[in-house]
Amino acid sequence: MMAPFRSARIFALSTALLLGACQTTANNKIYTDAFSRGAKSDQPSVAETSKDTIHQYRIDDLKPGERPELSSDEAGIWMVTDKAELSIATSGLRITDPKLNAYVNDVVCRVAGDYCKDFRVYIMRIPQFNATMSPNGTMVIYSGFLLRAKNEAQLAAVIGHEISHYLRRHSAQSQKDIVDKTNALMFAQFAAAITGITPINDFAALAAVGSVQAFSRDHEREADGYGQALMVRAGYDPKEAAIIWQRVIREDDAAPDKVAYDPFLSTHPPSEERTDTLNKLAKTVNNSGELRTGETAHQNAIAPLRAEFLRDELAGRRYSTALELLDMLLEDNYRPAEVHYFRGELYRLRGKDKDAEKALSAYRKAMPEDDAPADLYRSYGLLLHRIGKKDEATAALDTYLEKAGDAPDREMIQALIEGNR
Amino acid sequence: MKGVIQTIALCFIAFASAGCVITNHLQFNWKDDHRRVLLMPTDIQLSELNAGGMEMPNAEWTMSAEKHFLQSMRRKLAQANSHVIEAEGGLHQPADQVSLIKLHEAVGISVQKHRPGAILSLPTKAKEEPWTLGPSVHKLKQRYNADYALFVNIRDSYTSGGRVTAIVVAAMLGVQMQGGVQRGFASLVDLNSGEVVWYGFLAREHGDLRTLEGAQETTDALLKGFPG
Repeated sequence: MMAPFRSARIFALSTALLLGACQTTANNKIYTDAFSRGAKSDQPSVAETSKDTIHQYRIDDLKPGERPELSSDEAGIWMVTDKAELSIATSGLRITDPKLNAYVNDVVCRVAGDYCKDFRVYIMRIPQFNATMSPNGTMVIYSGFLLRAKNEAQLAAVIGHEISHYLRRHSAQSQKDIVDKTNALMFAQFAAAITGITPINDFAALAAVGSVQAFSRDHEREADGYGQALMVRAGYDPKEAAIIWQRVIREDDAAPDKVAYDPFLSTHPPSEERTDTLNKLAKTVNNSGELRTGETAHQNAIAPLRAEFLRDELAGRRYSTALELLDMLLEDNYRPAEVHYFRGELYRLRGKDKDAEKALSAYRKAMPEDDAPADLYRSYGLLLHRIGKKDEATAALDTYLEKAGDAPDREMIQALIEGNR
Repeated sequence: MKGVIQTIALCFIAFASAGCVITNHLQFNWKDDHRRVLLMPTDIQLSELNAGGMEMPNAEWTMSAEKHFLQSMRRKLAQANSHVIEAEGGLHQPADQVSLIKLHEAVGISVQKHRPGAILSLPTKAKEEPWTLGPSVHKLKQRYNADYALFVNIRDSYTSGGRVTAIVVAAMLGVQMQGGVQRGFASLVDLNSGEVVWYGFLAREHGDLRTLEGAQETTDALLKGFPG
């Protein structure tokens, strides 16, 4: 009779641990605390002031130019990320366009202030909304994020978030956390072996996974709050921090295979929570008159590469979300002809019922604009050819050859035109 | 039951003795006047194994290991009468060089796993077939004016105090737990053809790269049978 009693107690203990792991969800205090600390550079470091769970390891912020002590565990993480940086720096996905790099580096330096020299920025051609920061200051910006950001302030918001991960040393904190929890897990395994009650191990493992993830979510909250404060200090409008998340939510909602948010295993808080909190924090900033969004600067910086980025999005074949993205870009109303053209391309590639009609109509919307791309007439002509409208196809393909100049497929298109006649 | 225990014990002994140095059996001899060996930046990482089994990379150990290992390699290659050229390391090495180091890591691991006689040997490589890094090694030949390149990859972990405690407790419960291990491989690549003309590797539960003496012992073990 002993065993069931004991296992019931252990079950209760494990359940408590498990619930403890979830307790930190929706902790707004982390955002606001981080925001107010980030807003003032002369604040004492976190290790001296705070007793929150998120600061349990009492690690001071990194100072500008600081490298961790060579004998520390943190130096070990830096060594590994130094090696990873070599791979990133020499990756074939890297975008080396000097103008785009100069623009992004400039925003990083504005937001980073005294920390400017601590970061190396790498722009990678990956069609996803993301940016990452390594503990050694390697910042990676995805092309998919540059495409989705409407203005410089939105870029600054995400950069501020990533910089906060760096200077608040979240990787070092997470490493300590994971080590503590895996070490504790070892003893749970021994307990399971000694008592012969294997569920101890299972519950402890589950609790450990849950609490490591909860710790990670709290870091994201802190980086959101701190990062938003950094963007305000750099003179950007903090309202844009919430808007970028609204854009993410719109795309997520459009996905046919949308996955429900997992409050236990997610590494990040839900986008809705982030939007709400960032909105509230933005309202606490008074001098909104002087704060800028930098829409034109951003659009102009992206412009030469935008068609390439959009093509990458379509190559992913996630048409529902891509359509939502194109809708947003149309609402932004910057070079709409290009967006209409890619809407047409999306329908042409998807090729479902009535998509041919939709594609033709999208192409036609782009045609009157001065900056309508020459490729538009190629796609338009080929689609007309496919549905048997040969005369119209010939006219469109003629226009293509006229506008495209040294088109690499000139001979092929000419042969097609000859065949039609 | 006794039979089962005996079998397990035998397996364990077999496993433990497999943990010694294995060098290759490729027939390789230097050609006269072609002994310029390019020593690639060594991919070394030392870490500490903590109680829960996580490997914590250690920068201080790694840095001294790199220094000691380089010193030992210079000595070893001088013994083989080869002329050593050292490739540039660091963040600003050319992209093709970084790619080749990564490629060597992949090739080295598959030589180790799938070479003839290994547990996972491949039927299609039943005879000793040449392993290769491909023709892109020409770039190294041009850049450094070398005949061969020597690639080295080492991962070395050391048991922490906490892990020792865990191992002892586990042993009392009748479970054998892993301590620190030293794993490494080295390949000599012909820069004309890209072929791996010689390889050697290590997989053992001892060895210490943190001291010069230990590094020399490790280098000797890793390069056992290196053409002289």
